[in-house]
Amino acid sequence: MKYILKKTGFLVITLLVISFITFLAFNIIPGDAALSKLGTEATVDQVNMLREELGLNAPFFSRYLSWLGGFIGGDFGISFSYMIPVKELISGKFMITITMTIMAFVFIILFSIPIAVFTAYKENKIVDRVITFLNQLFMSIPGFFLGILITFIFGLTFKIFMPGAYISMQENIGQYFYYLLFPSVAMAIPKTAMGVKILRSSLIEEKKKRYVRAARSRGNSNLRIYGVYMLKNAVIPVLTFWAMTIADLIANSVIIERVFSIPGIGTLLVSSIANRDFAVVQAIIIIIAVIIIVMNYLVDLLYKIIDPRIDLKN
Amino acid sequence: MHKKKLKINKFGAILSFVIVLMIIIGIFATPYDPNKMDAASKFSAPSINHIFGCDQFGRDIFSRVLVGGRTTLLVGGCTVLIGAFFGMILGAITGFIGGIVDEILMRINDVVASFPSILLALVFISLLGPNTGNVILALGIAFIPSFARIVRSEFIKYKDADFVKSAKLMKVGKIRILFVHIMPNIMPTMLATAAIGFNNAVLAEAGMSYLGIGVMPPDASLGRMMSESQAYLSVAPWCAIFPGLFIVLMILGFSLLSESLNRK
Amino acid sequence: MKKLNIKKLLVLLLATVVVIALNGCSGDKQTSEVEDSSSSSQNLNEPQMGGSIVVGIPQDIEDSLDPHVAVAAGTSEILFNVYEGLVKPDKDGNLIDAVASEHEIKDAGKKYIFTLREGIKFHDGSLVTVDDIIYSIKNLADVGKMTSVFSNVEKVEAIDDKTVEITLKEADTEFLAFLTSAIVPKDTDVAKNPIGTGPYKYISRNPGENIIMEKFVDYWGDEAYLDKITYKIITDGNVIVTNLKSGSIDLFQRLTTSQSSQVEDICDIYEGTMNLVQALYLNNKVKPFDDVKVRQALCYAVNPQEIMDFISDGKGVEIGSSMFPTFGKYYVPELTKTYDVNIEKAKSLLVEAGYPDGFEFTITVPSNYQPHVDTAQVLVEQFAKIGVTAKIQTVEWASWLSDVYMARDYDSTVIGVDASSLTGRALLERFLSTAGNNFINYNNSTYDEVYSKIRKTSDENEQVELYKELQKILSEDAANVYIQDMANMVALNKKYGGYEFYPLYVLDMSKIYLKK
Repeated sequence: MKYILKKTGFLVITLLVISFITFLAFNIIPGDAALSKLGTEATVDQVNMLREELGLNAPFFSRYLSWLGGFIGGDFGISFSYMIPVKELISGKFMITITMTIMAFVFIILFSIPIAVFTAYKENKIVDRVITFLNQLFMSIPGFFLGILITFIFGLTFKIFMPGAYISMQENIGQYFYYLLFPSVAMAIPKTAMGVKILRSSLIEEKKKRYVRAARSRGNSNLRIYGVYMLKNAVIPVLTFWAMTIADLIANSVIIERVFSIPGIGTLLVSSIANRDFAVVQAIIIIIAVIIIVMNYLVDLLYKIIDPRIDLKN
Repeated sequence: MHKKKLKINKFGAILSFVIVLMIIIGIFATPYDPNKMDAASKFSAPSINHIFGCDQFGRDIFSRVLVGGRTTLLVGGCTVLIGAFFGMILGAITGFIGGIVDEILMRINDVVASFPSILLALVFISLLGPNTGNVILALGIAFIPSFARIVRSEFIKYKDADFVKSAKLMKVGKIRILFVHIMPNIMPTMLATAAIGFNNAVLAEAGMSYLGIGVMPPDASLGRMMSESQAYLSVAPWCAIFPGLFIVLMILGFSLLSESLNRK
Repeated sequence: MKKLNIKKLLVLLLATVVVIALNGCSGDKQTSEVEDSSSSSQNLNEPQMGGSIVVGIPQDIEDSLDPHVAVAAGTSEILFNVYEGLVKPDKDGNLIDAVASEHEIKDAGKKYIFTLREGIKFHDGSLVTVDDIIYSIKNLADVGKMTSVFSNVEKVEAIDDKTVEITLKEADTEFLAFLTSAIVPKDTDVAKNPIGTGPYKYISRNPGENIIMEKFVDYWGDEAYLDKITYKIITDGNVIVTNLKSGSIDLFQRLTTSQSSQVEDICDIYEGTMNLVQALYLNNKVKPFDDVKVRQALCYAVNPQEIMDFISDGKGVEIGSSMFPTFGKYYVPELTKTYDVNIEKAKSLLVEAGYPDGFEFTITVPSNYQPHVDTAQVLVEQFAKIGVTAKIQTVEWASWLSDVYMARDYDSTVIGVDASSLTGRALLERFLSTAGNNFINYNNSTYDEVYSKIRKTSDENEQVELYKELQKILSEDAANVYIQDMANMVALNKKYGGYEFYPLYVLDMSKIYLKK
């Protein structure tokens, strides 16, 4: 449809702009890959030689275009630090970050829906008040602080996991998922709290509507009313939040990976920026941007499906 | 019912007040010089002398937390101001005028929005150097899109409102309509967004200083204090816990407060 | 109704958590068990063959696996086990024959003759030939950090299929020390396919996670003890302790004293030095550091022992010039006394130099080296006592390299400089006014003069004396504010033994063993 074409068009343009800006930034900031590789043994001659070799001396636009050409064709370039194709390097790391994101997201959905429904049902009773307060508390905790606390309580005190002992999927799948559970939960809790808040107030809005009373008078059980009718309508504002959450989780994985020593995409991004490993940084930023934009569009689409009356332009 | 609402308000208000007060007092005087090192007090546990204990250099953590809190407050506040101010202008223009201008500006908005704030800040800082001013700039820019979007949808909502139409009929200038007629209606939403924005800005600042971007040592910064103390978690957990707790209480206080203000 | 739902969910959740926790616990125990442990016998502390170890390293190898190209000290440390040169260092800093079975120096350091060790093999099973040696030596003149040294090679040729002769353009009695550089197979891309002659061979790596090596059974020398080494990359200093405690890593070097003290129950702690010259390096071209009085004033204000007290529980070795104690014969210990703390003297020197009210300057530190950042923080406090205000600016490593090291655009910086070879010049050559790596812009004609005398003599004792004089000049001229050679705390899990300190960045894994 024309709509999809238009959206795809903007997606591409946005990505172009982002990649260009990143490329620009890399050329302005001090230091480059050659210098980074040579370190304190660098002399001016050696640096220049390595720059030639790595192709860093070519003019700005030709480098950008050649990178772009390669990228479109599926070739993400070579990592200067590791001398292996970028695709190879980041696919493994992305797996890890995506695993954590999915685990966190499952946690969020699994917990925020029942809790929100429950508190909406018990609106303003003591239970609701307490949970709402706890909610607010959890929303105020920075994810990494939660991570530090979890490390302290469950890692050092109760010792049910080894902080820092990340185990890769190849070594032991069970352990891999077990270890990733902790950072995922750390990331998920603040988001769950926020999700509960939004869903709850949305449900409470729904409660006031006429069709709820109508359904009740028809003899539907509360469970059915809340779980089916209300939820379907109330969930709309939360959808945006959840979509952004996924993007947020990936983007903020940098910090949580640092707390738990996980070699994921966030860590790689930070070290690649430090090493001026341009190709890696570009690839990661673009992929993250794609995810964010696609999430946005997905939400717009969802809106359209759920309620065709909503005009997407506004 | 009414009484219970006030209860939250009070707690949030008191918490916020206490924290801000502490920070303001901290501007003039702290129990100890936050940067003064004292080998004898290295890692001392919380005591009467040092309420929050001491860090690896024997510096008083309570004093450092007050100073660090000041930075966090500053960054959070300025970030929201920048985001709100420019976001409002952007949203007003695009919402009111619409058309091609709207399309283009919104696309640019989306581009900036797609850049996670942390990454934006990382690149910014590498470009311009790590100092508080640049952090505020970077985060401020990262916050503009969300403000712009919200303001824009509000403006679109009101663009066709009756009172606006009648103002137009009376030949009231466009700018006047913007500021005098529409703006006051948007204020509540703006404030609510600003409150949430403030919380996010504080979290973002903490995250960034945790990663090592932002305030230079030896000056205190809550996130950095937590990052440095992670190594000592098993010997001196208070080094990491108190800065974190302070952030939590700051955000909690403000959000409870703004929550209840919104309800009214 | 809703309540039931929630309750059920909570119970289910609790059950799941419990199950996972139990699983996790037993799982943990499995991973910390040692493979290949022989049955317990009464002989403790005796080495046994076999077993494996996990070594924690703070940084991945991001320069290259090619030993000629690799520049990072951390990389060389790892590659030491994979590659060898014609000679190699032992733990006392002596050069012992490796790829060569004997060597001869002729013409007062102009000719070097090496006999290829009989039957020595590369990791792929092929025999090392004189062609490989010639190729390696020639390559070293083209790539890497030793090009200036190896450009001095006039010719390298095979006398017969067992002997290689290297002739230098200019005699250099220190040249032998540079022949610890690796001998690699001719025309092989060792960056992708690392093949050397060392006691361990490279197996694989997972970028950002680990590097794996295995014992080379056809090694010419004493067989290594451990079968397998896994280098695990732990970039975040904060989790090293927990890793050591839990047994997920067995060895970690360069710990801070607070870290090492936390693992004393599980690990043996070895104390050495880092073999670094840590100093507040001053940009001699920038005011006010172009005035020797100002530099001296700073030296009088700084108390290295106090720095060590704060940062490493007092451990570390104070140094007074650009040399550290493990360089035995060159080291001049008296130089630490040149500037004992004297606040009054410092202040009066400042007045003499025209700064009665002190001045302000910036200390640029790379943010990734916490010890240097911490040192800078203490320095700020110490300088405040003489009325000098120092401001710290942390920068990314890449920025430090480009702005401070290459562009020399800075006031001062705290960094540790290491010696890339076991020679006197390693730490002193850079202060020549013409040196390419003279990042402090030191310009002292007396220094240059003395240095040129060294190249003219071939008497080793005379050379040592001259090197000592160079150190004295640096100290008295206060080229920089020299602080310390930092303490190097090494934690090795008590199951293992055999750790040895080397005067260079070397971690000899072949000497480490599992105790019985």
